[in-house]
Amino acid sequence: MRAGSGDVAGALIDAMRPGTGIGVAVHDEDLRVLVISPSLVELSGAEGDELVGRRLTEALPAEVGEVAEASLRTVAATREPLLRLEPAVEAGRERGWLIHVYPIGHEGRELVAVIALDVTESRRAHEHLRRTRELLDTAQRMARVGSWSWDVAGGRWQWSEELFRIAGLTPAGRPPDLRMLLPSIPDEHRQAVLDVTAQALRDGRPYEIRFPVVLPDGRRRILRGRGVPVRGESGAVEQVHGFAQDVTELSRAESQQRAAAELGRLALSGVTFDVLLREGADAVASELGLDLVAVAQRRGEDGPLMLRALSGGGMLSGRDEVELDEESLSAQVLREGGPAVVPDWEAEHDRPTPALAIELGMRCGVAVVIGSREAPIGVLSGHAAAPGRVGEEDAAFMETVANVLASAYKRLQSEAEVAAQSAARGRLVALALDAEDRARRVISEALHDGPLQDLLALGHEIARLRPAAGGDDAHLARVDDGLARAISQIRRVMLDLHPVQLQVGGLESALRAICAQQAAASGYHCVVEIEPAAEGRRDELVLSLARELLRNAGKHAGAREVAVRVALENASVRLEVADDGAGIAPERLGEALGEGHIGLASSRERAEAIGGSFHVGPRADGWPGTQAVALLPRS
Amino acid sequence: MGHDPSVLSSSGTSALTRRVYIADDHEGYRSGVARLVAEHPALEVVGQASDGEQALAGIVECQPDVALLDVRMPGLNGIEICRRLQAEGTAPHVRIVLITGTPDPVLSTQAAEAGAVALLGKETPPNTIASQLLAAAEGRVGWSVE
Repeated sequence: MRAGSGDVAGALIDAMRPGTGIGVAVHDEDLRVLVISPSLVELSGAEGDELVGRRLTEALPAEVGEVAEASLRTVAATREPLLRLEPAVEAGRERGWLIHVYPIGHEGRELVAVIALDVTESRRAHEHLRRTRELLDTAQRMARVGSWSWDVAGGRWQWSEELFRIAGLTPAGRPPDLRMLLPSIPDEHRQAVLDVTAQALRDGRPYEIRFPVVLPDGRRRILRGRGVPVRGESGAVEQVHGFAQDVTELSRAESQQRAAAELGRLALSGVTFDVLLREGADAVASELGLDLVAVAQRRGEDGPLMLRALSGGGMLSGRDEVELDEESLSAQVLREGGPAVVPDWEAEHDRPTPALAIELGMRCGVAVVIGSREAPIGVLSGHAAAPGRVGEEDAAFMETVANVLASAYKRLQSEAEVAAQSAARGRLVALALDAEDRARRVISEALHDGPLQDLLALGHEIARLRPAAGGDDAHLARVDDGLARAISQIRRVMLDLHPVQLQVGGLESALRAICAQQAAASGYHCVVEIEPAAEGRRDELVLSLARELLRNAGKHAGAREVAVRVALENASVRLEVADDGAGIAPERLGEALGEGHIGLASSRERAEAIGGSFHVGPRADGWPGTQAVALLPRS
Repeated sequence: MGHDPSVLSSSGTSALTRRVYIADDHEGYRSGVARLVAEHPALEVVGQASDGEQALAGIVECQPDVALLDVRMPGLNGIEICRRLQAEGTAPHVRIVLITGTPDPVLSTQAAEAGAVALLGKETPPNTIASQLLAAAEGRVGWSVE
């Protein structure tokens, strides 16, 4: 859209239509529009020829018109161009323009030309790039990861801002090269960094390394670095790109996690609680770099707070037992029920200052409760001579250690209770077994010494009366038979109640008798092997268990062959009864007990009551049948 | 063994009468056996005891031809008496016959090992007991369990 020109220039201006991204206008000495491209007309928001012959203050909204015309006025007055003007973007008009205003002379006139470039896309690209950089920087900052690039040939380094921060340097400065960086790496790690870098330059392979650095402010940090070499056309490594991450917290967390796990393993290894407390104190001292770590427990429920363990395995010199006063940090924490962190006692005004900590030269402290607030077990406290050495994260680790200690304490307490109950139960069972054995023996002896002997003597009396019976043999035979049956029954009951043979013939005699009796009653064949050394150790229990098992072999298993072996195995008498019967399913044992068949359960109880064991299951040799093995510590 | 009962007999009865010592803690049984021994023409009772310690002392003192000992008695049991006599050699010519209310094969083996010449069940008929005692006294008994 133009006025006053029908030439090529005019055609060119006409070609600058909306969307071409470029616009041109020429203003006369009065700053009125002489010519204007359609693209600029569109930019102004005016209609077609409205602008020609008018000043911008007349055509554009007030403020915009004033600003634009001020630029034209300046150039007209100074005859100096104004470049790169960026008009404010109005609401609803998203496109951005870059304006250049030039003084031009034409046929003796002093005109002003405006060239406008649409920089919307360029600006968007720049904005995108800026945002991307910001995001990257934020991400790097959050991850504590800094990136770098090394132009090997040119000896130039580029560092991201976060890498500067990680290295404790100002981002505005020039990044140090490897040579400048080396002094910050402790001596013992320096060579490794040099070696891995040299290796990467030689073989062009990516590498990774973890090493400590000492920052300018003296803090020691741990970095994890990774480098990816890039080869040039010559094949040589020309660039290395990489990143470095501050893994100090991660390494510390890993180390603390390992320490806590190690303490947990120790807790399960059977050590005493005192040992565990010392190990816990040492772990806290080592992981947190504290000078003194202590564990305190109340003596009794409301008794004084006593020092139970100290890091380094010692007690306070010259004191066998240390009572902590109620102003100690441990006592305070116990009252409060939660963790406490005191970075500097000299600057602490809310808490009473603990005398002992000050006496020992401690400036800061941290303490946590072991166990729950409602049922505290003790207090774990850490102290350092330098102020500011403790923080919330130290309290968090100490709470982890305290949890391990509390769990171990509860578990040990439970184990002790179970052991005490088990021992009490064992004693009761043993007493019951002894009482049962005594009762059996007494009844058996009473039968032997009384009715049996009487009947046997009676047999002799009847024999003496035989001549007087007048040949009534049938009657006598009935008497003899009745007598024999009574004697036999009494003998069987005696044998069942108590092995009389044990007293006069020992274990082998009694066991063979029982086997013979059960074998005859059940119709199986029984083999007995007894190692002489195993006799006299647990004879009565061996006989009792064997009797139960031999009865089962006939009654439940339908066995045809039964083998009984008694031997000495280490410190125990080993009774094994194996049969070729129907076998017993593992679940059957539980069912049998549920159905009231307490024989096997009772056998196990009796074995376990004296610290032994009793197992029933399939035969160890793989043959069908059942095998029962009792291990009975020798008495 | 070269045992000559006529030499050892110290009573006034026939030199062919065998001297028997009886030990059993059951009074009724012991007296029954004692009676049948006494009634036997070739046997005589030279002593009785109702417990093991008494029996050991009595046998040593009486030196009978044969001692009939209950296996199970208060104090020493019959097998222990056998072992003591063997070990101490205080009655080298006395033959021991054990008798028990609860016989079993293993017990008889142990009795033999202890030095007894026989193990009888108490239900053994009186005549058999007497004949066993006579046979034992005369050295005619190998090993038997009744």
